[in-house]
Amino acid sequence: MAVLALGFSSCEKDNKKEEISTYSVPSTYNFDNVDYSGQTARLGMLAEMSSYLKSANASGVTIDEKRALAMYENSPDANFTGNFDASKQLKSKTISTEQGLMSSLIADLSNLSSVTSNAVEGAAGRIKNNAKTKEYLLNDKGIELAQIIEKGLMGACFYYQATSVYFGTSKIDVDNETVEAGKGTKMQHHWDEAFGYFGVPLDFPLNNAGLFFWGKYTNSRDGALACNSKIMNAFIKGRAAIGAKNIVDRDAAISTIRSEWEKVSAASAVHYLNAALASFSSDKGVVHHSLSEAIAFIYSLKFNVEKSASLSDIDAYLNSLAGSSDITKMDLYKTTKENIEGVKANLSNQFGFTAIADTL
Amino acid sequence: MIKRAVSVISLLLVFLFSCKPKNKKDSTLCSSDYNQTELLTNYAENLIIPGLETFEKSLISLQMVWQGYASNGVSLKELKDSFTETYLELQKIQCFDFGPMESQIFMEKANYFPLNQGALAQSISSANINFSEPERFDIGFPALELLFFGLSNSDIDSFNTDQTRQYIGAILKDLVQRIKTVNADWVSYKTTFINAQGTDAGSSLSLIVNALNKSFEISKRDRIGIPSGVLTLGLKQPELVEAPHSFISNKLLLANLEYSKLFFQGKHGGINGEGLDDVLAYINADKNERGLRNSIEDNYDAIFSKIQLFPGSLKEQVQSANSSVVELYALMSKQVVYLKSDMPSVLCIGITYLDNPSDSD
Repeated sequence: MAVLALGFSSCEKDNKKEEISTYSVPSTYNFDNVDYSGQTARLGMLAEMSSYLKSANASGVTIDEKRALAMYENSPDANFTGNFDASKQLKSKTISTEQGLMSSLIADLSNLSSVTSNAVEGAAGRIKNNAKTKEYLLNDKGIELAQIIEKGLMGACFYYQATSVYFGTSKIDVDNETVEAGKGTKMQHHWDEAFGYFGVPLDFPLNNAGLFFWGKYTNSRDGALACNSKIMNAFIKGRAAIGAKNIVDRDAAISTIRSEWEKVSAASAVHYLNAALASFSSDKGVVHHSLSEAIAFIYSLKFNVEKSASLSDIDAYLNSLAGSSDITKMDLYKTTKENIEGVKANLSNQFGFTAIADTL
Repeated sequence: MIKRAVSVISLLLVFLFSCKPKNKKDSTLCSSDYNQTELLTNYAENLIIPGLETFEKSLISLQMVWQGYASNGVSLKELKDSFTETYLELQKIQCFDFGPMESQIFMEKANYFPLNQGALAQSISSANINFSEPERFDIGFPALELLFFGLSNSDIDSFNTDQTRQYIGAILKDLVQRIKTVNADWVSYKTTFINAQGTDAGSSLSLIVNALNKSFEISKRDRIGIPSGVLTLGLKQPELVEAPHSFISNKLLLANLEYSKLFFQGKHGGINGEGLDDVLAYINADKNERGLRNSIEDNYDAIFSKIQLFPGSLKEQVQSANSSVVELYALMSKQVVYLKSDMPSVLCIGITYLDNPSDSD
């Protein structure tokens, strides 16, 4: 019996050796049967929704709550300019824990858009930067909700779907044999859908035109992190590895994407903390706008299944920055310069940015 | 080379099979001589029909207690006790969700949770008692649970208003009507059920195995997975437990899973009738050193022990000691492998239900 078992395992080993084949990795995301139209549609929906919500930064513009919520759910009242299939929506793809929060923030923003006064502590309103070139709509606690909604959905929907859902075992450990015309195998298709949420053209970073959301912020952080090619190369390598049925290389690419994408979010938070610090005593409009951005990028860190900052780390950052980890209870009028400097130092340290923190 | 390896492997397999003692039976149901009559008769006559009848009695009793409460003869405590008892009975019939019960979409009407409180408030004020509307999350036991136990934190002022009373009465009336139809249908369905032998998708064995799994997976996902945050990157949602206001979620969960084990065993009133466990024993289903049957039973017991260690409500457990809830989830995941993968494969049964239909990608 023991001899039989030994014989058995040794011929299995021989087989495995033979299966590992070499494969070529193209320089762009140029593969057969790539379709991520559903992801492109959702990027388009968030672009339109954000632009509609931000239109209320200008005094006198009010947001129709019904329409704004319909945009989140892609229901008929949305009146999108783009032609989005009714089966695609942002809300159903947002992690379930945050759907209610996002809907209520959209409703809150719509309600406060009708105020006509200036933003002051305790009262919602609008605030301009010193140059009077920008205007922001803030809630009574000094938060620019449009930023929280836009960047928050980049995290709780796009980043979550890519790093945690499509790269999760139930979506990625699936059939890799049967090719559906135009979509590839199930595994290839799910990989492509994750890529779709990154928001870049097939020949990024050679081509920097047409960047959406994460693609845009990745490109903005590229000078400090060299993240463009790190993330793009991993997407290309992983897709090629799937074609060659090399699961080890695929999984290595998943880890790289999860970790490099996380760094983009953390570094973007530090970038906006720097902006808030630079204007802290001189330009309140910039401070509130930048802190709202930073909070949303820190909040987004939650939605990666292989994250390096734990949920309690993230809550602690939010708490130090805005007095609460609960977005509905945050108050930016109480935030001190020391609070911001502390979060900047700790966050940079956690992600290994300390040396470059001031350049972000 | 690959071809050669395959033929070597098959040679080895032949060897392995020939090593088996001669008196051992076949290792899958479809190649065995197992007769299903006793099994299906036991499930129909001793588990399902009496179980559904007990539930009907309990539900009618709750309806009467409610009517007594509404006319001021019965105390709130008696109403709550009767509700709790019936909710516990409801857990036991979740494994019967096929045939007549499925035709009545009974579980959807009785226990879709989490409750949508906003929709409930609206349905009460607009007297929306059209319970045939699909996907309503403002009806059934979750709605009654809020109304009887948890009004202080809700938008609904009181359940002593006429509108609320009418809504409660309508929920109970609808459920009583449906369960009566289920029981009436079982009278003729029983023969169909016992005669539908074999292992095809429509066979009764397939219905039992699928219903047991579906019930178990609802507990795993909705009762434990969602509140504990296992399914949402560790982001907990303690308010989404079943029965968050009455603090009986642990009891309900335990009742549900204890019955799941009895159903697996074909046990009723202390008598160990012919059950799925006996089929697995008959065909000598392998798993670990203990065999598949014992592995399943041992793991049920491990699950019960874990739940019994939760001192307070499940909601509190998630809030303050969630790691133990996550451990429970892991044990339940292990059980799903046994029940949904190992067992169907040796019973030659296909899993035919979709546990979580996903929307468009």
